[in-house]
Amino acid sequence: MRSRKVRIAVVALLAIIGLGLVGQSLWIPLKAELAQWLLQRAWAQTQVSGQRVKPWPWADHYPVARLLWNEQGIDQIVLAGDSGNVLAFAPGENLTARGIEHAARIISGHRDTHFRFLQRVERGELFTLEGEQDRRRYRVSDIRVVDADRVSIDPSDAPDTLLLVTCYPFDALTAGGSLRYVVSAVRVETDNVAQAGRSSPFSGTVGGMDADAERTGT
Amino acid sequence: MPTLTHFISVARMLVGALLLIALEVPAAQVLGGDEIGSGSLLSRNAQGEIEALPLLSTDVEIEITGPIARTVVTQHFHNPGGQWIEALYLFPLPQDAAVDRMRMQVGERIIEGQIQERAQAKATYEQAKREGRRAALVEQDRPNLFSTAVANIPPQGEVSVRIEYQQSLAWRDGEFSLRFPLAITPRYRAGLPEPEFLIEADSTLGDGWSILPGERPNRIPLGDAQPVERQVRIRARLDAGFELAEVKSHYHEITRSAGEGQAVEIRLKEASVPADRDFVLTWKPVPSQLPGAALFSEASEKGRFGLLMLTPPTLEGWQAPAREVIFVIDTSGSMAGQSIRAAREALLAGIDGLNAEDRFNIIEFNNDAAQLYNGAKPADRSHLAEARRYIQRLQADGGTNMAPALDLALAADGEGQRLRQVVFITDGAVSEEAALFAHIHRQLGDSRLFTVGIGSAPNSHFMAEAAVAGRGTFTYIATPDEAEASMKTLFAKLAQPALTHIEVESEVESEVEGDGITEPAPAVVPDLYAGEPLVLAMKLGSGANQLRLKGRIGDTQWQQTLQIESQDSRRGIGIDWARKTIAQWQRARSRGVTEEEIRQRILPLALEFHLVSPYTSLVAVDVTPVRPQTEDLAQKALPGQMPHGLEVKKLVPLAQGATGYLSTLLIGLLLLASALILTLRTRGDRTDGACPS
Repeated sequence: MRSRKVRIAVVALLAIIGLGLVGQSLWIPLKAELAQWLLQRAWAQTQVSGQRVKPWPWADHYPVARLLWNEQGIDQIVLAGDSGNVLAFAPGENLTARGIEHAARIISGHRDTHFRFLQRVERGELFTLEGEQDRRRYRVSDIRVVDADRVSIDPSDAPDTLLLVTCYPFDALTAGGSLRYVVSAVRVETDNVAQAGRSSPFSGTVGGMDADAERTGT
Repeated sequence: MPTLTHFISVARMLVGALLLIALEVPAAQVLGGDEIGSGSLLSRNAQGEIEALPLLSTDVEIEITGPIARTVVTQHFHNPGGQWIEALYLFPLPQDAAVDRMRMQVGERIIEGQIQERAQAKATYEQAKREGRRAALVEQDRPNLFSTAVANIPPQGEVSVRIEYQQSLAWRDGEFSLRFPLAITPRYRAGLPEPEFLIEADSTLGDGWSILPGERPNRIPLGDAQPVERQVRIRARLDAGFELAEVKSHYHEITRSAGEGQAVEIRLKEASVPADRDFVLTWKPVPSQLPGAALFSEASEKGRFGLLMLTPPTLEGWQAPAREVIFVIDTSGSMAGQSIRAAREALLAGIDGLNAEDRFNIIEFNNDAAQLYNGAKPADRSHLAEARRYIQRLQADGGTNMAPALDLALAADGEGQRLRQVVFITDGAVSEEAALFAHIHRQLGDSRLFTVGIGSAPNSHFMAEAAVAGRGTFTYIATPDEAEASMKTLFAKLAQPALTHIEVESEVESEVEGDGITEPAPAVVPDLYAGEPLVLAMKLGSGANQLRLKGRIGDTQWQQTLQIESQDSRRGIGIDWARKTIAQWQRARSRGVTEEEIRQRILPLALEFHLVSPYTSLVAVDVTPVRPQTEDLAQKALPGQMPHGLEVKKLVPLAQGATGYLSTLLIGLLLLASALILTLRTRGDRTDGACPS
């Protein structure tokens, strides 16, 4: 009889902890989704007012850009800063790099929430980055995996470049590895997408580049 | 005759151009940094591929004098092909090292690097290029990568490159360490839209990976996994300036013998070592409870120079004197969000670092300044608790007005005997630097000023200069994530002043003016703290033969007399003084010194001491005359490039990009599943029990 009580207690404990963990872990992607919805509104207000708008009253961050990949229907609001508490809600832009004139812009996101789509990105794809005043288009020129323990980015070395950073490998179960998946995209003139694509230093490396340019050229 | 020379050079250029076309490579070949070994000579072969010329041997001679090391590296390369080639020489430098001499020997020709004014160096180079002579402009485009082009390496010929550089050594955990790069690690620099460095018209060196030596030196470079054996001869002369307790080479076996005076001679035991790890040497002094002092000097045609090194006590048990610490924190609107949270954390860490005998106060400022107490209070339990509550309540709002806060922090003078440290934390860009600087200078008195800049905005030059004037240090925190660690290091240091109120005097025999110590760098002598030595460079008059040092350990007077050696044979002391003086002048703008005066101060020093600075470049010109060579066809025009000077770039670490919720989810599901299984099995047991047997 006593062993049965113990067993029931164990089962109950397991179930409670299990449910707790499931709830806690599912809250993460849910929060990521919900936040984007609220952020879209904050971003719209930012564009109208030109002021920093907090997405919700107690938030300690604000949107700075909107990242679009039209072909795949990706549309995400980017927050200021790339520390952990920001990335829980949205991709975040590195402010050190942003603070340097003519430097690369670096946006990081979690590989298991917002930036999961990065694994589908291929060279030649076009991204749009919408700022408060302008829209910029970037063409993916390079994709690689780097070891964050061994390398850092020198943003002033890569003017007019957009770097999308997430953890790697995409299907790793735990967080905290040192590998990063880095997608670099070079800015192209909006009016002149096909032209710029051809004259990019990376042309010739992607066979379908011209076809791509025709498809997306506006 | 001039016409003939002209004709030959034109003809050579024409043939060269034809050859270029003939050799033209189908696609732009990217020269990645991961192809660069430690000290590499790279060229392009007929197929357009980048090839590293085989390195035959490396000779390294290191002369360590107290806190500085001077290294002479000679590397011998071999051209295995049957063609004249042009190559790019790359050498990874340790952090904080600068090349001041370079010499290349190609076949019988010697190319000597010379320091010239920037514009003139460029002109020299252009002229030599026009005349068809071999020349190269030396670049140090990143602070730790030295590169230059070498023209005309004969087939099967040998090239030797000899460079000399000087560096300040790092003191950590009670010991000095020196690293000579034998292995390097790559750095990711993103896909570049524009080539940054051209070896030829159609290839880039800046693209993709580049090298960052010294960061993680113990890893094998990418690519070839097989360890390469290299002929490396390393000799070092170590004159530490203190009694050595230990000399250790971390990855290579060494032999040690007594040299002249106190010096120790060190050699590698093996003539050939695997090129997979750097040569790392560390040495530490015999532990002591008192600070130590050593003086090195050098006399040359440039004058007489001295380098004074004070080492902190390393033995446990000495008592740091009580202090008065004033924390000043910027609570303006720009600090909102992560910055203010980081600053709050930092302040809490600072409060925790106080001893019971210390006194403290906190001042916050935005539009106005407000202080926690009217005058500093003892760091007892009740005051600390009060301070913690005050810190938790700090909110960022309003403008940035520093002057009232500085008035509060500096005006109220402490109780005389205590060491007064003002820690000034801000993210604000400073305007009206000169006025603010004068303000600080007027009010500073005996207070020490430690400035901390958070974020990308702070005016580093100003804050560094203010700290130097205030006998303190400047701490730069790029992102709020780094705040806690950086501030902890700073506060740990501040808690242990080992020697304060240091004065250096010379005993001069004659009464001639300027015969004692002149132009010390830093101009104001800071305090000595446990954990790092204090280094002071100076000019010495010819009559100076003794230095007297005075200081205070808590409230005890400390004094030591040092003899200036008559031989004055240490190399590099003068250069070290010049480098420190140049660095000092580079910051002088924030004191209100004009651009023109700064230039006039730096230029002669840089030229005299062979230093690359914002105003000077190293240019390599052909010293021996060119012999006519009909085979000399593969010469290609090098694009003229200006060195970028020595600006230190901001590096951004890659953010952590995963939540890892899947593993939590999986564990949760596993627990649920096991609960389910257990429930089912319990049911099964009950049925079994109910069954009549």
